[in-house]
Amino acid sequence: MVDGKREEEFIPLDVVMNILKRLPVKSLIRLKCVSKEWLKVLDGNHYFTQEHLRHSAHNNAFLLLQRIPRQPRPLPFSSCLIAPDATLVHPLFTHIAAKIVASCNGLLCLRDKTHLSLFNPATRQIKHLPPTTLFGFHYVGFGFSPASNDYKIVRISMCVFDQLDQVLILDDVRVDRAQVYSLATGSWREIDAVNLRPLCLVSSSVSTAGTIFWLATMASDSDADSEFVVSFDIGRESFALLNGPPLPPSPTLPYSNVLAVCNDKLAMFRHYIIGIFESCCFDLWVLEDVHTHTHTRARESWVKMEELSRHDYRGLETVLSLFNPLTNELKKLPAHTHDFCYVPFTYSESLVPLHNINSPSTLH
Amino acid sequence: MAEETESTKTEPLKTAEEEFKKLEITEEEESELKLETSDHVTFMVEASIAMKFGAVQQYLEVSPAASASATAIPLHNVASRELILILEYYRMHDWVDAGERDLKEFDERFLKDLNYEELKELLLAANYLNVEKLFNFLTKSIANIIRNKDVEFVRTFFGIDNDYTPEEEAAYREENAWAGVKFV
Repeated sequence: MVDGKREEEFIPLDVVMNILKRLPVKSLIRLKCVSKEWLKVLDGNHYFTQEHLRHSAHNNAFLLLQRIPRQPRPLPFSSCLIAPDATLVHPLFTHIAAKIVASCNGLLCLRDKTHLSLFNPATRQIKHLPPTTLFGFHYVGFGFSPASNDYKIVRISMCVFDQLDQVLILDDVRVDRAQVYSLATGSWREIDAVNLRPLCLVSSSVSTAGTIFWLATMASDSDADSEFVVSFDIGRESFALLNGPPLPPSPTLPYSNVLAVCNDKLAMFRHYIIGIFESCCFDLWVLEDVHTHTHTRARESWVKMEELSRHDYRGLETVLSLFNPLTNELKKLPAHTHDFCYVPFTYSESLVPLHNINSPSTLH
Repeated sequence: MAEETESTKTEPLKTAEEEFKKLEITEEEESELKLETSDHVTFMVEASIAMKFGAVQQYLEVSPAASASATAIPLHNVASRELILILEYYRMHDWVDAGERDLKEFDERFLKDLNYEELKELLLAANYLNVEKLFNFLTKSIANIIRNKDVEFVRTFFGIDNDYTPEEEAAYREENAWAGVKFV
């Protein structure tokens, strides 16, 4: 059949990897049985894991919705995946008692009461984190640092409980302490959070490009309109305080802020409500650059993307929709909004292992 | 971009105006490069297509004289039948009038006409030539072929010898049974 020059076809390993990176994780797990060489590639090879993740994030990014029953609570949470064309893919898992806190590179950070776990739904690996010595109400952030090749979880406790008087203090909630867990070392350690002390965190976290972000306000209400972003450099394990985008000229419509990620950069939706939820409009701000990265105030440049158009809510029931700001398209998602509320995350499956991660040299 | 007579075979009938425009383009006489395959067949290929081949670019960087001279650029790891396929693919994908649907139909037909051996040979040729678009198309197509296949199929497809002991393999199959390995 062939002209004799290639009796034995041999496909080089880099070409094989280029084929394999396009396969879903389930197929790859099955193919670990092909040979020992393939096992080496598919079982924690850092280069291949990254290549597969890059391909998966670029070509198979899903919207992950965690479904939380409105009542009775507590009930097991459930979740589903929504493809980019707004079709329901399949339930990712149905009966977990834990709430998803954050999603990064195919790993989910789960919280069950005070216990935290990391979970890779694609490989079905789960890692339960050791308990921390931080008690009480706290915020959790989760992300990856390419610089130190490590996944970390940050726990920031809020001072609501007066240890001496044994009472809850609700009029002056502020940051108290912070601890960080590294997947590479497998342990927690306390980090300096003194520069966050005057703040009160007010949002869940988002993570991009080696940094975790939260929205914050000043704990004392002297400057109630001020908005800040707390950033955590995952590699350096340091907090910084950034200003939010410029405030709208007053008087203004009531609005709320939501942190998001836009093209790997931190973004913030400012969501204005018109009337009694009759309609709304958005501004989208993107943090283009942070000049200095010292632990005090940095100089940041927020760029306002296009002002997004006004949406009429009148006559609409509570719905769950996907909105594309570029095309102004609004797509309704399959949802039972009477019985559940939905918390969205981005998700793309990965081979990222939860054991035997190579200890990066930058630690210790 | 100029069109080759070969690719016009499948074109629908064109209006006289379009035909006229095409004549004008061909009159400009696009430069060609001479390529020689491993089985010593020489091809005159439009420079606009040949320059998409990383291997050709690299060759010309080392010996720039080859672009003007009559010496053929040797393609050591590409046989004539593979080069014919590669040219067919690139001429279609370069054709300015090809719509998204035309390309999809072309790709499907192109793939259907190849058996697994030919597909692998073409993949190796595309890898050697460093032609990104075709290489990505082929790796994607092979990924689709093996996506739901069992381990034995994949071993045969890639010509891989099983180097597990029966005990090791049984253990792996047991461990990953949920991913669908537990047949045999």
